Amino acid sequence: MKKDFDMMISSYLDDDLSSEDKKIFENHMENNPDFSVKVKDIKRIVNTVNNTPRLTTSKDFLHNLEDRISTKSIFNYWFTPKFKTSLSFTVAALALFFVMLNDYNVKQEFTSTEKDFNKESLAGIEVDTLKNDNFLIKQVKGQKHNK
Amino acid sequence: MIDKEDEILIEEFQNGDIKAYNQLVYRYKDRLLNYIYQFVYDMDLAEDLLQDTFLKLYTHKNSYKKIAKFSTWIYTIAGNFAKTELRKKKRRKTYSNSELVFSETELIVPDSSNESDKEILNHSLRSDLKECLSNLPLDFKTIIILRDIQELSYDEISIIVELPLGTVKSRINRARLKLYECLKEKKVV
Repeated sequence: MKKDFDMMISSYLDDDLSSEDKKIFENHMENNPDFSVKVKDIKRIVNTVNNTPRLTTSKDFLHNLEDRISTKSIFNYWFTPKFKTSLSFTVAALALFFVMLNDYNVKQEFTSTEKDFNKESLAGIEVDTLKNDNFLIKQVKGQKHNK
Repeated sequence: MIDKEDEILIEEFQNGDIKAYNQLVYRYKDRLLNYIYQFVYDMDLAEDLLQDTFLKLYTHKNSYKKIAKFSTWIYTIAGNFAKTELRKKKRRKTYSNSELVFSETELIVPDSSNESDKEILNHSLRSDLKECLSNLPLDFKTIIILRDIQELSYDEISIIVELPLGTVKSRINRARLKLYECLKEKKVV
């Protein structure tokens, strides 16, 4: 089976080839000087990338991070689930209180007006009934008249 | 004193131990700075993004689940910040026309009077390599940084980039070949 030696270069450099494949690969390098140069060049590139100068964080880094964390912590408090829950409970309790207060006021008003209304309503019903009776009489009369 | 494992430290931090958080920051700050820097090539920006990473670790500590290694989790966060910034930078490139935004110090020509030929050659290789690396497609670039700069294992890379092990290996190979082709075009190799 024909091997794709280009695709084996990294595995060879990372020592990730089986002993059998490694032999085949090294044989191919021996017989192909150009390929051998290519492998060496890639190895050099990998080493250069590997030896890229390492950077370190500035002196202020930790201090700045600490500042950002404390700012975030204060800000975040407003959005914590704990705060959200207590806020919703407070709002719910206040809403309930106002509803109950409103309900109580309405009831109070209703009871006082109800008393007054009860007194007047009897007269009102009588009037209505009378009026209705009149109406019925009129209607009956009208029907008779039509016939 | 034996250093505690990252996974133990994050667990302690999740239980409210701020000292454990500090230890994690101290352990990863330089490693992650080098990782992020390879994407943005700007020291101040890299530090800002590193702070974002640690801030996220602080605010989202409970997002970490024990199933993965802490290192792969934190590299993923840092990588996401870096890549988002890189995309923004590329969008801005339309106006600035400079994909390779090197800092001023990087543009200073080094005094080569005391350098041997080999050192000069290496210097040239390094600067061209940087250019070739920054021109690689993002997927290839990420994988090269993780493998050849951060020296992470194939398994760790596979988790970070969310690709099967075989794909990671072939992508590393292709990325190295691309770097080789780029440097060959520049006649550095």
